[in-house]
Amino acid sequence: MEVLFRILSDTLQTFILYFTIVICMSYILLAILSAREMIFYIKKSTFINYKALLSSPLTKSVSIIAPAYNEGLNIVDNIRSLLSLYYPNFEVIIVNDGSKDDTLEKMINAYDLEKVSFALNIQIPGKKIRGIYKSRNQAYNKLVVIDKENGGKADALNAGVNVSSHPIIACIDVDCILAQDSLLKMMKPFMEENSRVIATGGVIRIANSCEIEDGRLIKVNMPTQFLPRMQVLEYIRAFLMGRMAWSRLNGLLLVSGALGFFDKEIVIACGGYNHNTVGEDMELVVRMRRYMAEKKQKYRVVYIPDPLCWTEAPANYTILGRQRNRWTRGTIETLLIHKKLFFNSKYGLFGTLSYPYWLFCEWLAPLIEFFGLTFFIMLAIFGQISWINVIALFGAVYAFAIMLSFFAIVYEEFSFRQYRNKRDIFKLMYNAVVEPILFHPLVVYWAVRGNWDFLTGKKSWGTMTRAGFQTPKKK
Amino acid sequence: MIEFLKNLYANSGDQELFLFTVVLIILFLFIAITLFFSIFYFRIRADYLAKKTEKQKKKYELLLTTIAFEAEDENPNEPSDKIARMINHFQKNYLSNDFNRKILAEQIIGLKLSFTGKVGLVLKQLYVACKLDQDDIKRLYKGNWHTKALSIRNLVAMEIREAVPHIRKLLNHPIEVLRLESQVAMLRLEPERPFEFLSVIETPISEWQQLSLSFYLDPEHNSENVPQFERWLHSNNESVIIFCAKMIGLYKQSKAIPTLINLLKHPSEEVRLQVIKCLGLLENDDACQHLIAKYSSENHKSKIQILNSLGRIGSDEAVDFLSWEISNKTQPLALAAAKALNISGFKGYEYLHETLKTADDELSLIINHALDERLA
Repeated sequence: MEVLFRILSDTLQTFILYFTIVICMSYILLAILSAREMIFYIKKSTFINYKALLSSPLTKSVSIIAPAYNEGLNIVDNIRSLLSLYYPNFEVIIVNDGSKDDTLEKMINAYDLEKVSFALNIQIPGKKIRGIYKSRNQAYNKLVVIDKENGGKADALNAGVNVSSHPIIACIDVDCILAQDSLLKMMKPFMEENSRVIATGGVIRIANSCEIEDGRLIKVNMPTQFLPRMQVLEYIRAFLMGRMAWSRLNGLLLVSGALGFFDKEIVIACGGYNHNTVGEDMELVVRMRRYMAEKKQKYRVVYIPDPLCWTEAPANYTILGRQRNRWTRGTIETLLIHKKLFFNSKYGLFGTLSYPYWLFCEWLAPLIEFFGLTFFIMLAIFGQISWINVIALFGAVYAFAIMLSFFAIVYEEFSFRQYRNKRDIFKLMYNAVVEPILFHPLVVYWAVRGNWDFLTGKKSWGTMTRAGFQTPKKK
Repeated sequence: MIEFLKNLYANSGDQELFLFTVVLIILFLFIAITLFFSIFYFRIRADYLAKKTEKQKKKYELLLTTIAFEAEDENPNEPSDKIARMINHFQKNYLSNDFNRKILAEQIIGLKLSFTGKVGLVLKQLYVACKLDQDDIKRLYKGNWHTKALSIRNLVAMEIREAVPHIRKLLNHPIEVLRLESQVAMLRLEPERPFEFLSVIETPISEWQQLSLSFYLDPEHNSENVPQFERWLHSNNESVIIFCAKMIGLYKQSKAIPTLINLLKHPSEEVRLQVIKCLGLLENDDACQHLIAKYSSENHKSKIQILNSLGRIGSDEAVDFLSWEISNKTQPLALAAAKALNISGFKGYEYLHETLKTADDELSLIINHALDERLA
């Protein structure tokens, strides 16, 4: 029995050790690739003349689709902000997804809307559309409002796709703050790549404590609260280090639901957003990629590192926990729906590298971390391994985490430098030091809970409340 | 500290593992600390460089402004002694190192972009006299793509036409940005034959390149010399044909219509789609029958485009076809036909209103949609 236990213990120890080494190595490789991609992007950006895009009749047009559910409080400002984006040829489609508050009435009154006769071509089926509205005022001619029965975010986005009239669709969260030039930058890849670009994703930044006025970002500030500040670092690491590298490899599986641009033709050919998952953003990208690979067509999914989309991050533990729980369930659902991709060389790098990476490093890593930690502590308690070695191992992982976060801060500093104040850099570095002890265990816990909820069949989104943005005091 | 580590080492179960992890911890923390200091080092260095640049710029600014004012009264082909002395002064005093040369070049280019005429010519003479153009040309051969692109920009800004043969070599460079910069340089430096490079281009011209090239062709930026794009409609490079079709439509070059009609048989869907669009923009009745003949064999996207082009042409034949097509069972085609009728002219518009009186619900919805200008 003791021999069996020893063999089992040794095997598990070796597995966890090698798994940790592989994960750390993959992070280093991604960081290197990301740095190369970022340098190329920044150098390239110095030559871009956006005036050409703004004034040309050849510019590709885009439909912005923003689902709104009970957004009565801010919807009028949010729409105004969207209508004022710099781009020559776009429409803004707001989908009122059966709101129970006065979202629709506020839009009708503020923008002088009336119901129009719209010959709808239903290409993706969904809940019933009650009406389509346009403004009587020529100044708001870019605005389209859809009123429909409640069907969730995926269904609302699909309704928007059915109504949209342009070849590219931009799916966004209506309460996000978009930079004025975000359309210019996000649309450019659709025009410049020689292989077909089926989607572009943008970096999401944390807007907590930033100054926002009339739906526009006035001043970037470091969040004052603990949780949003931790998420600043987390987002910089994930977006600037992770996704840029995957963009270079053309292996991106996720374009954030808060800001994603898609080739409408491919979205429709794939059947649109999936209603049956809480990770509809990731699922759509994976399905689109799968579709293109199966059709043997060359394609790319591109990421734009500029700080274009600012969102309010959850500032309390319950809401953040729900969000992370949902992300975990969404990842699992997507990976299981597309399990055929696992190490499937037919799908190229997408099947042989991206999918396994997400499986092992995004889904399973928190579980292995959790059980590995418990296992090593148990071994130490039962005297099978020295406490000193356990602590030294954790110390190495901790030092690695700090180093990785510092790399992310360097990326931020040498690229877009949103936090110009030296004190903010110190704060970020302090976050990097305390994050592995104070924040990361929570992230792992929420991921484990997400796995549990998935196993027990939980399907809901969970209520997400927001505190709202800070408006500068008028002098 | 060392004693403490020695104790830990002695008491650890697996001493090799312990040693390995300690080395890793030291390595990771060392890198982290280096990164920490590098941020502040580079911030300080950037501030220092910015101040140094500013100081140098101010020094040049005064001299260059003097030259600019002197130049107003000069014969630009024969600069006065004063200007010659100043050029001499620059050559002697400010070109000793790369930093100074770089700042001087930036300053001259900055001024040149604001001045034309005599002042511009004198600034160009200064640029050439200081051999800054030679620096740029050299960089076209030995720098990375970014440096090369920047040098092209400088040469274009200073209108150094002698650089054209050197830039031409980069027209098919693998980096798109550099290709575009060299193509734009051709437009700007050879305005009398701005699109000659279309004959030698082997790489695809992306939509972004097409858009940028058309921007620089805009009369405001370039050119009285818009070429007849029909010349390149037989190119082996599909993207060249697509670009030329767009330009023909934009500049209404109706002479190209027979060639465009022949291109309706082109094997590439994208080429055909662009040609259909272009024929619509040219609003020529002769194209109508060919478009109608192609309609049944085209894909959905091209069919929609044919209907739109027929609407733009608006001939009787086109209106008759659209009037028939409005009853198409495929809703997007019926809607496209209705929208085309609405823009085709009075006859089409009247037909829509007449049909509306007797139309069923589905057709009424389509016609009302088409007639609502807000949904165009």
